[in-house]
Amino acid sequence: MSRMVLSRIAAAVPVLLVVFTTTFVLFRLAPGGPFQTGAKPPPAEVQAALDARYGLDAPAWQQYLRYGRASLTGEFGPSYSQRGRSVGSIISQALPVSLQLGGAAMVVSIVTGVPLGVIAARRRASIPDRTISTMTATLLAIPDFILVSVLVIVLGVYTKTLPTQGWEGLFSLRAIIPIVSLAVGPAALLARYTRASVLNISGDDFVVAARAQGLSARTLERRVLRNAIPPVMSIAGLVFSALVGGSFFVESAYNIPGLGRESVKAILARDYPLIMGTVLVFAVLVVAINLCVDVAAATIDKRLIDGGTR
Amino acid sequence: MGFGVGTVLTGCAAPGAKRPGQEARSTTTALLESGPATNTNLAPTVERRLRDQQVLRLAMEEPSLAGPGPGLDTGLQFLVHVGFNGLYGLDATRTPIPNDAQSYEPSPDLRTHRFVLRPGLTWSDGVPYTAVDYEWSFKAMAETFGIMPDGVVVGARELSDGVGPADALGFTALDDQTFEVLTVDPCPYMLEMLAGRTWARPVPRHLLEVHGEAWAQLPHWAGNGPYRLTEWNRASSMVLERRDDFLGGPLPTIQRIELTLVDSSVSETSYRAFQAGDLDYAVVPLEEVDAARSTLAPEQVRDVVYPFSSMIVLNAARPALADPRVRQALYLAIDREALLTLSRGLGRPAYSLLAPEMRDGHPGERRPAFATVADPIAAARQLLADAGYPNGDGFPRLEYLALAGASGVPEVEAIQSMWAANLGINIDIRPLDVASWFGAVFSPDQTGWGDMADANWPSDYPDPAELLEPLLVNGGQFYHHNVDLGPDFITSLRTALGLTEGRSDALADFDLGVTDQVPLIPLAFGSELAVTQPGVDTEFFYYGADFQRVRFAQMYEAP
Repeated sequence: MSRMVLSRIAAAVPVLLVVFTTTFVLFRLAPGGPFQTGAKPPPAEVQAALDARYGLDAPAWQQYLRYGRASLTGEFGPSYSQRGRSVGSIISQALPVSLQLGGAAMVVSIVTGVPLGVIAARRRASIPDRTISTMTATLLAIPDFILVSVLVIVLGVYTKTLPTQGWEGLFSLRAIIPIVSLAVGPAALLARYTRASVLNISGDDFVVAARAQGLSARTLERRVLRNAIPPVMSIAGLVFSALVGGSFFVESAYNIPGLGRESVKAILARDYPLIMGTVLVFAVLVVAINLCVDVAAATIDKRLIDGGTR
Repeated sequence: MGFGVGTVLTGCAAPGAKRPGQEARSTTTALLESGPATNTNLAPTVERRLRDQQVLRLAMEEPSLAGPGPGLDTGLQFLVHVGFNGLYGLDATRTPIPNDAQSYEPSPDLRTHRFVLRPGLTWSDGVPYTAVDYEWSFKAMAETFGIMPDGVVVGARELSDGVGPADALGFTALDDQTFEVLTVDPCPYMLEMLAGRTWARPVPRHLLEVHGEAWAQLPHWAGNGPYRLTEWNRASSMVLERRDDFLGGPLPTIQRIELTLVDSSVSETSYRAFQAGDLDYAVVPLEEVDAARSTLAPEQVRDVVYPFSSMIVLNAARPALADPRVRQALYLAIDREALLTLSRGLGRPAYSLLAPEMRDGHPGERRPAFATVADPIAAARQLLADAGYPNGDGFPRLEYLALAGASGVPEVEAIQSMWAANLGINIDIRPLDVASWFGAVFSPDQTGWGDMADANWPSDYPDPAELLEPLLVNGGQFYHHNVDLGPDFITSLRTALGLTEGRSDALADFDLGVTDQVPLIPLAFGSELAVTQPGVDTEFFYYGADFQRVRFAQMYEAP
């Protein structure tokens, strides 16, 4: 197991280097630059002074190395759009919010999606199964940014039961709309994957054999679930990565001070250090979450260690 | 393009009203007030009772820096105009009033401007400051941020050209209480300039030298304005509380300003928060304008007008656009009234560059000579034919860099249709986000610069000087139209700007003379539709110096 973990960590290093380099090159090729996002352009003298102040007048390769060094320290250098702050401090403030939001949405989606999938599988081709399948297909078709807008208008503006924007922590009314908006799609996805996985495992030879041996339905169900869960966990890992890193629509629409919103603001403001910082953090998160998922799956099913060689 | 921003300038001084610079001022009446300020602009027509809780809730973009500096973003501008004080400010009618200065004495030739500061001025942390801090701050702005004072200030053009030091700028503290500004040309708009520019504020040197840029963050922050920054939850909220020890002008009525920090102050997020009752004032996004007008009480809805010009800049370095007759044809072939339907009726058609709301603005609609024709479309076709492109034949396909936004691209598409139908000219539209658009339009070597582009201009202060020099001098310092306006152009511009008598007519004539050559095509003077909760009495444009009107806001018991 430890060899698997170490090899995954070693493999992550070139991945992160590629992500870092690609991000740097792409944003240097994009038109525009920092300090050019107001209602009017900055005067040329101001632009030149700010460029010199932040080292933007240096050759690109020097900037690349500078960002690289700053990234290794975890501080990522100073932000261009939030002057007087380091990118590290911005990330350290925004990341916990995104993790809380994504984590809560993940919990909600698992708690609702997995049981629904199991119910649908157990009652295959029944009315509950069809209802759940139709419902999940519909919910999957609704993007989170549409859902958050609809919920804000209905629950915030018309009924005034929930706030329309903002963040006051996970256990406040302000968390409900964003969590629900983020959780609905993944819950539907997990329900469908769980249903498919359970049905798939239910037809395996070992289940047929166990059933023939006269195992109780409860024991049989436990075995089926134990084997059906690893594929669902793999999907759940990807979903969690997407929830943490891909929540920028909901964070922006609901005015949540998370990392997704910061990354969107950074891109629009061409705040290069903040862009590099947020992209790297997202990349590390994706790698870490996938590693965790693999470790968890391997813990459940030892055959998965070392790619199934053991 | 995005001129989705209104119409009635309720707060403008009446034409012909006495303005600073029209005569030498004597010591101005001190405006220290202990009680609530009287809001002359928004005074209620019936007697109403002020609320006990004077708390104003607004949505604002997070400032890149919570202090004086280059006014690159709306959040910084807001903080500078409510948290910091200059020598003069603007009142609710946008008329200059004394702030840190207690008097203003210009020389008869309007080239030497002397200010006497009030005694006992202090930062919000209690540290005193004087005219010496003003001199140091203004010069430090130029050295630190490269901020150039307006070219009219002595030494500014030399500094901009790299041939003069910041220390030679025409800012001098004659003693602790006397501050002097020297200008190259007569400057009758000195007070508006100092009120509007975000560099024209002192910086707390005692904090800057200790904390660097971090001085502008809590817990270090200190300002000299009527409000003190007391809370700043990053990306979420800010709170400013009134300084009861403030001596630099009228004491505001609002005691506490609560800011919700949003990515864009004109956004669905802000408007929904207003609809839910969480904000007292909001700008209505374009797509909600009709609904807001029909659902809210008339006293809650305001067309806020501020000098804001929506234009198209034409790159005359392109052969097809080098001929002024082509540019005039393009100007004439646009139906500006039709464009306004796309901006939900916000704004007014513009046929010249200067908005009537400008200081010394000329009331009424004025058009250059070529545009005073009965049939503009026929005239446009004739001009194009005279230039060698009858019915648009042989005219190259041009590229238009459009600023993507709620109304921007649809308006450009309408113009595209008008030019195709009226002139037989086809253009390709390239929609760009703000940073890409800036990058393309303002690159010094004009790399990526298209043939034409959106050109918007909200004024930092409401005087023609703020608009004409940057738009026109040197082929357009900001929007590079590349039109050679002639050798006497700059002289005539600066002469008109420096006039004290007949300035309005001279500027209007200059405006029409320049527009005749069409370096830029004026489209509209924009406005914003703002909404307030019942009992909230304030009105301001979400830009620049107009934030000073927040200082005159008042909250009444809701009817």
